[in-house]
This record gives sequence, C-alpha cells and structure tokens, in this order.
Amino acid sequence: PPSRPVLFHPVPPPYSFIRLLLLLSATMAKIETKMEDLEPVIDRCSQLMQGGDYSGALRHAIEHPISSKDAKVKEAAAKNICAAMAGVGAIVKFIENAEETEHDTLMKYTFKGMDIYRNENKGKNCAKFLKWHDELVKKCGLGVIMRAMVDKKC
Amino acid sequence: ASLSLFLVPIEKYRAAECFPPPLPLHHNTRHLSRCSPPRIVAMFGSKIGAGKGEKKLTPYLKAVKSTLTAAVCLRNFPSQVVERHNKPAVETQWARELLLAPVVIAKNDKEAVKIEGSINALRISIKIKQMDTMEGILVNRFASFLEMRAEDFVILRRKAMEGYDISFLITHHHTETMWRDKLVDFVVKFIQEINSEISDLRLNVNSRGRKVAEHFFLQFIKKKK
Repeated sequence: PPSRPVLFHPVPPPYSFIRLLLLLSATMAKIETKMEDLEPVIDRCSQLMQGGDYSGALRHAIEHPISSKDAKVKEAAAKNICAAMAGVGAIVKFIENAEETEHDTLMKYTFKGMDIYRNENKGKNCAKFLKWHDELVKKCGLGVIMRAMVDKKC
Repeated sequence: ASLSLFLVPIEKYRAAECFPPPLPLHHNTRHLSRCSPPRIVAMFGSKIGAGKGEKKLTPYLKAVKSTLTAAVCLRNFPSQVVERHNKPAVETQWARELLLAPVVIAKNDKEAVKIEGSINALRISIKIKQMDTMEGILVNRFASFLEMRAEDFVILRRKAMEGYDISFLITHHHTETMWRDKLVDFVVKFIQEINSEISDLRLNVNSRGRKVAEHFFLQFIKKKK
C-alpha cells in the first residue's frame, strides 16, 4: 500500500478533480461564526432599527447567516434578527424580495422569535411571528419548516 | 377530544368523489397510497367541486398544523446503541444526529406548543391556557386523568414535559398504522377543544360551589324564623 494517502484515481475522469477539491475545502474550512464577526452586524442593525428601517436591518442581518455551536453567539444573533422581524411592517413584500436561502433563515428565526417573545410583554409580539410563519409557508410550502428544524447551528 | 377520528369506517370514503377518473395530474402520484382519503379529496377538490367542511383555523393553530405535518415524517430506525432494540430517538437522546432542533410555537405567554422531532419519533408538548389557580388545578386533574389511561390513548405520553401540561409521543409504529394527516388533525382538534372543556369544567365547579353554599346557609335562615 502507498505510504501517503492517494487522492487521485489512477485514470481520473475530468470532473472528479473538482469534486475532490470541493470535498477537501469543505472539510478543512469549518465555517464557525464568532462573536467578533457578529458584533459589527449587530451594531449596524441596531443603528438601522433606531432610524426606523426595520426591513433594511433585517436584510443586512440575514445576508450572512451564522453557523456556530456557541450558545451565546446564537442567542445574540437571534435577539438581533428577531427584533428586526418584529418591527417589519410589509411582511409579504419582504418575503417576495428575499431569496430562497434567506427564506430558510427567516423561518428559523421565526421559531426562535416566538420562543424569545413568549415571555416579554405577555407574548403580544408572538402574533407577528405567527404571521411571518404563515406567509413563509404560503410562499415556500412545507419544506421550509423542515429545513428550519434540521439546522442546529443557527 | 374523541378517538373516533381514527375509527371512522372506510365505507364512508368509498364514495365516487374520493376516487376520481383519470385527470391530468400535476401532483406526484407515487405517494397517493400514503395520503388519507380527505387529502386526496383536497388535491382534486377544486376539480370535483368538493365543498368546504372545516372551520377556519386561527394563525396559531395553522402554524401548529403545518409544522406538525412537516415534522411527522418518521421512519423505522433501530437503536444504534443496543442490539435488537428500537427506541424513540427523541426520548433517549443518545445520538445528536438523529434529532431535529426543538421548535416552540407560541400564541402568548400562556399558550404554546413545543415540537421535538427526530428520525423515528415526534414529541408534542402542549401548554394549555390557564387564567387562574382554579383552571390550573382543573388542567392538572384533567391531564393526569388522561395520562393514567395513556395506553388506550396510544399516542399520549404518561408524563408531560417540564413547563407543559400534556405531551404526545408519536412514533413510526403509529404513522405506519394510522393516517398521518389524521394524527395531525387530531392533535390540532385536541388543542382547540381542550380550552372549551376546561372552561366548561370551571363553570361546573362554580355552579356547584354556589349551590352547596346556598344549601349550607339555608339551615341558618330557617332556624332564625
């Protein structure tokens, strides 16, 4: 047996090079969002929200969804995005303009928002998140719920 | 909440409208055998002209229904830890890769539904609306009454999860023998009806208490005369 692990097929077909490179890059680069990366996003979003532009803040926050195992990072990101979601007025329009990957992120944070706002102000904001849920399912179907439940790094 | 939802005789669905003539189908028909008759009617309803039967659901119940429909995709998955054993992954929580992220759907601080999914089982915990201590006691008694008879109930869990009043555990065994959408419909109907049942119980308690107090004080009034 060869001393080093052999990565290439003896007679390689053209496409497998690309596949192997992708596999290597995926395994080596573990994308983990840290607090330092998240803080500028939160600052910018709070600036926009103070100005009253909730949909702009939400768009900015969703652009780079986090992927982290740390509970504090997840909590901070969730608080930020849910605050923006609770403020957005034109939900249907926002969903129409968003892309498909953003729909998944929105659904994940809809569930988190309901959990966070349950205890605040006797849960009056939960109705907003139920509306988000309804509109997202109308637009994207049931698959978006499944994709939201599968992701645990969010 | 009645179990008769499951026990509806099949003859009821053998009407012609449930088995439509060959129509240009835009749905994937490979899974038709997995659909319950009401779902088939819903798929072709617009073409047959089937009327609306059910009440409109509130957004809270709509969200619960759609999330449950998505989460009740279960399949058999024997235990990876113990040979020849088959345990619901959501209960044992031995392997993280088999579990879905738990999801809470809340209407306000008093009503919520927590849905924990996994590959072979689904746990639904319901927090029932309780306005005061009296309703709290009633909900407690009602829930323990049901939980004691959990074996007949089939999908009920004997102990509710922390922070919730009643829990269901649906495993792949149940989805293999019962219609999936009917299971979901049952849970939604349970949530709908339990609020009215608790308020009925509370009214009963109040009226009984009033009658007892009346009777008790009658003896003093007669003596005075």
